Amino acid sequence: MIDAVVLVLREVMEAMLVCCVLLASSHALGARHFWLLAVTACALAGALLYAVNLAEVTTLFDGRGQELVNVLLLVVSSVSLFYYMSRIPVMLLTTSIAVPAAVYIAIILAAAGALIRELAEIFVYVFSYGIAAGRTVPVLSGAAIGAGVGVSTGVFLYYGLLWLGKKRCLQVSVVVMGLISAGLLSQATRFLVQAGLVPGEHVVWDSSWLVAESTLIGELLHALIGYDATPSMEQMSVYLMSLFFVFILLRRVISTQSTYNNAIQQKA
Amino acid sequence: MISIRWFLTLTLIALIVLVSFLSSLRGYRESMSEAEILFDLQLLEHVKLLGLLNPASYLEGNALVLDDNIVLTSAEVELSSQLEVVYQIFDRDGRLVIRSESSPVENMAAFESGYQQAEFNNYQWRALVAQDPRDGHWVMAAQRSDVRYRLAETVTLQAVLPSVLAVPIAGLLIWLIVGVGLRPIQILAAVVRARETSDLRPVELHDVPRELTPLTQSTNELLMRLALAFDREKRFAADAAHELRTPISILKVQLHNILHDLHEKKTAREDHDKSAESLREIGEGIDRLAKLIEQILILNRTSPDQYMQSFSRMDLLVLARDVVSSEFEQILARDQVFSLTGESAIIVGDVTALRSLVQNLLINASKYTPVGGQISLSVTNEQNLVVLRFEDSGPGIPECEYSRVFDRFYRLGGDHHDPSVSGSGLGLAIVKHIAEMHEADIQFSRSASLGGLCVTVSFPLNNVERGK
Repeated sequence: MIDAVVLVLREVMEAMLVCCVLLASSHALGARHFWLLAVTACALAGALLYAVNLAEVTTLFDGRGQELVNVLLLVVSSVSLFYYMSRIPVMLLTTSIAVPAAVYIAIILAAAGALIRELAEIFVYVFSYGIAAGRTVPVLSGAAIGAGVGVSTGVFLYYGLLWLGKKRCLQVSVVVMGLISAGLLSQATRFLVQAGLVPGEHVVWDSSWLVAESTLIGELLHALIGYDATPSMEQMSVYLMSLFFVFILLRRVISTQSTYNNAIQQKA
Repeated sequence: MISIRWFLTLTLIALIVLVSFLSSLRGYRESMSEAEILFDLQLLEHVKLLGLLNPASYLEGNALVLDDNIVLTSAEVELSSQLEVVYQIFDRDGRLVIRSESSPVENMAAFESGYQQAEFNNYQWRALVAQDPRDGHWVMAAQRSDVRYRLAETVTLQAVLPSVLAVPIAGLLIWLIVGVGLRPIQILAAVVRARETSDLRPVELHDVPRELTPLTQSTNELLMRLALAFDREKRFAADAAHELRTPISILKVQLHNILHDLHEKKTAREDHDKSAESLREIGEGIDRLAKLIEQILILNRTSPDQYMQSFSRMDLLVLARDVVSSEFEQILARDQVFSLTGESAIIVGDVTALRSLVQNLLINASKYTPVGGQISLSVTNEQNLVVLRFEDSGPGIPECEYSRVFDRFYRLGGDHHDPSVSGSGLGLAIVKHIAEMHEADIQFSRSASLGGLCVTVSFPLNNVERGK
């Protein structure tokens, strides 16, 4: 049961982090929450499809199918997050209350991309280690406890971000989304290295003696900043480039907020 | 914050889930760990039991001596000594064949198959007695009752204790969450409480929760209505005082003249006539004053914030005809040509108020139309409206004055208005109030047929539906 709790909690926490930051920041911009329904439907359908066809997907592209699908989902998610973040200063400047459809689509893609991978892992685990192994009750109980704890933490994270107030909420959201996006792109690069499409021979450092990826702190850091104990040079380059882009976006958000201090309040 | 209800529901459910699941997990881990110890000790007892089968045991006084390193910690040694199961085997005649070290020499339980309570070595024991059906041997095993109970309790407590400890923590967190949830109400109350008595500006709060939006809106509407009412009352008092001052001054002068005459005790015929003239003027002045006060009262009663609506269905044409017949004397006195045309038009309204509206417009038309002029009144149904239209051949009102004539005590030409035309300046203000009360629209224009003023009052037909 404990294994199920830990695995499901890890996956749900990763998904909740992305969803809660998107929910809180879009609320601060005046967006409505109906997109959450679309994301839930897409993620559930996509994850089931992915989990059911995992064996076929793995054999695609000379056995590199799973890595490439993961790369696709990671890239879609991080690019959508970057697009959404780049629209935040623009939306702060406009006097219109309505959030553009393109922004809603970016939010849905970002959240669905993150959720599909995590949910598919949960489905595969629950079916293979629980139902198929005859341990349905302990595995499902553990999964329910893990999901409950993860979602509850997400609720507090969401209200915590709202509690910061609109200005700080947007700034913190951009920082967190930036770190998540950089981490997602770094993960995508790692999958490409695993698939043999990117060299990745030179490992920059090995910090597994300090924080192993399998520990609780390692998992948390992985979810929050895309921590990798043995990053390749290519991974580091992508990560640092993404962080540079995030830094520029954050500066734009802060300068827009200070210039048009009342814009958010008027939109509210 | 989107909604207090959602905030409290989601956060409290999340809190309960977190607290109960985490305490269950903690209980699960602790219970599992306790169960592990129990299973280990069970294994140890099996080993001891099997050891009794070793012939060497007999040489050691029927007790198995184990190497110390099997039981690791001192707590386990203590537990092991307490958990120990003692054994006895008797032959069919009740002679002791073999026993474990801690068991008494006498049989520790009665020779009856099944579970029993026994007492020896100063403790209560739970014993199991069985007889071998082949040769009649009796096998007895016993365990201390208090140790069994304590072990069972330890396992159960490990599962229950985290939940017990979690309750006060959950209580404290719920108290904090409810405090955060109710904070917008406290802020609103503080903002309203901090207001000066004279400050009737709307309350401005950002990011108001859904539940408080209607309250904030209605508070602001109430403040707005109060501000308007205060403003109106202030202006009304000032205007009324100003308008009443002039006739009262005239009356005072006239009274002074009469007193002066009486004081002089003039008895001449002409002085009597003069006094009678003064008294007649005082009487007229009092009439005008009474009319003015009556108009002021009507105006006050028909103010939107004063009027108690008592609407009923009525035919506007019948009502207009009725008013015309009662006021026709004045029209005849001025030798004016009057025509009333139209069709039956049902509206919903207050009869007294509408009568006052028609009466005021009719008297105004007659008053401002020259002697021998023309006045026409029509009642028609137009699309979704019932239209009451007065037209006259008088001088009309300049377009720039259209919006101002509804002001209370406003007279065309100001202080230089035609002195031959009497009036309080309240008639059209009353008309406007009554029209607003009936959601009717009132428009001024130049009459195409008669050349004077055209007043059009349009009553919406949904007004009729409402009254059904």
